[in-house]
Amino acid sequence: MQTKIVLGFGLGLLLTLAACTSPEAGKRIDAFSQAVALTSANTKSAFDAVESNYREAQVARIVANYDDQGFNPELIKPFLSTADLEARLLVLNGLQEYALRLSEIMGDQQMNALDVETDRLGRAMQAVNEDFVKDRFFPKAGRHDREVNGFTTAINALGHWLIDARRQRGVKQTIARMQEPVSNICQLLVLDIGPAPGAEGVPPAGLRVQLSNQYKLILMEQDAFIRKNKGALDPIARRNEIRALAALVTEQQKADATLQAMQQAVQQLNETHAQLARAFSKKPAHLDVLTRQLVADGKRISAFYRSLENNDK
Amino acid sequence: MNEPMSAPDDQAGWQELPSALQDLYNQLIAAYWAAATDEARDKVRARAEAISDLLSKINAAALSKRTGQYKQIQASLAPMAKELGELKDEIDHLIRNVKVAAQVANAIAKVAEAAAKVLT
Repeated sequence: MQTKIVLGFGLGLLLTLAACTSPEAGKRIDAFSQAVALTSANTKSAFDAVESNYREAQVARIVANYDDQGFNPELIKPFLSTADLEARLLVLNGLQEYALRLSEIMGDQQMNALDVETDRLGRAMQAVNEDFVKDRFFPKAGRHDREVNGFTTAINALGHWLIDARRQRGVKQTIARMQEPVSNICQLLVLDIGPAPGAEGVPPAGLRVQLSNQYKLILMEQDAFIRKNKGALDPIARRNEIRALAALVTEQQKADATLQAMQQAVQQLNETHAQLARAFSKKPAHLDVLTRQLVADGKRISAFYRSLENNDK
Repeated sequence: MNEPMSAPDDQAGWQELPSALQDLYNQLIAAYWAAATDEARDKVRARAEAISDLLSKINAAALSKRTGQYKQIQASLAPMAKELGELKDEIDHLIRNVKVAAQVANAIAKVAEAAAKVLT
């Protein structure tokens, strides 16, 4: 009787502890992981877009000058060196991996594995011959299956609690230690994207300025091509070339707006990470809002870069 | 790749050079669209192309200057990934303990079943 009371009390305590864990934290960290994956992928796309546009500017220039200067393969060079680009891609991959691992740890996979194993344990214990072994395992707890059930439920609850407590502690520590690197990455990316073209009082450097200069060059070179070939182009071809010029102006505006949104998303990623440790609290309203906004912005930016890729095809 | 340009921060005027070149580029672009003749446009275009090359080199150099900082951060990310991997392993180990217990209980059940057949 006494054993039953102790078992019952222990089980109740474990179930209460297990109930104290925050199942929403996993979902929040998973949402953050998704936001990081989107922001990282978009940042890579931003560098790719500037590089691709740089190549386009060189080609437009070669085409416009072909009659006078001919072609030389040396005229086509990348904007950034492989080493410069790779250093950034590695950091972005590292950031993605960090978020993915956080999400894996906070996900349901391990809890589900624990449930499977405790279920197996329970079934194995049920399978033990009642008359022969149960007397030896639970000589004082009675001979009923509910003791076995109670035991495995307690093991399961204890496992859930241990896993949740360990991962909460570990994840919180890691998030705290990652704040500085995440903050540094975001600051560097913001500097890489740089100020708006024509911004006063700041050096004209960064992807936004570079992209703007490239578009200006492409527009000029394509215009030169149309002028030089005005006699050779039939009216429809000429109209299409002029339309393409006008479309480039719109594309330039969208590309700059996207880089600006990208810059804001990177800043927001830093802010969201700073709030991430609150994922374990009951109502981290600000974190939820930031994450949702980051994912929504990420999807919009991603759509623009996909449209540019489709234009290239 | 753009040839790297040395960009010493301590040289007076270096900070102002990109802004001055950018202003010149913007003016050349404006002059191109405003030019009345094809000949004038082509002359302006040739100059704008040269300035565009310089600006691209300066911009690439400015981005390249930060590459070292990215590499430093990259080095600090690796231990974090390892740490999270270890945490996952630790939790997996706990689950393995339950698995081992289930295996032991299974083995006991089989022995008990066999023993029960012999002893009864």
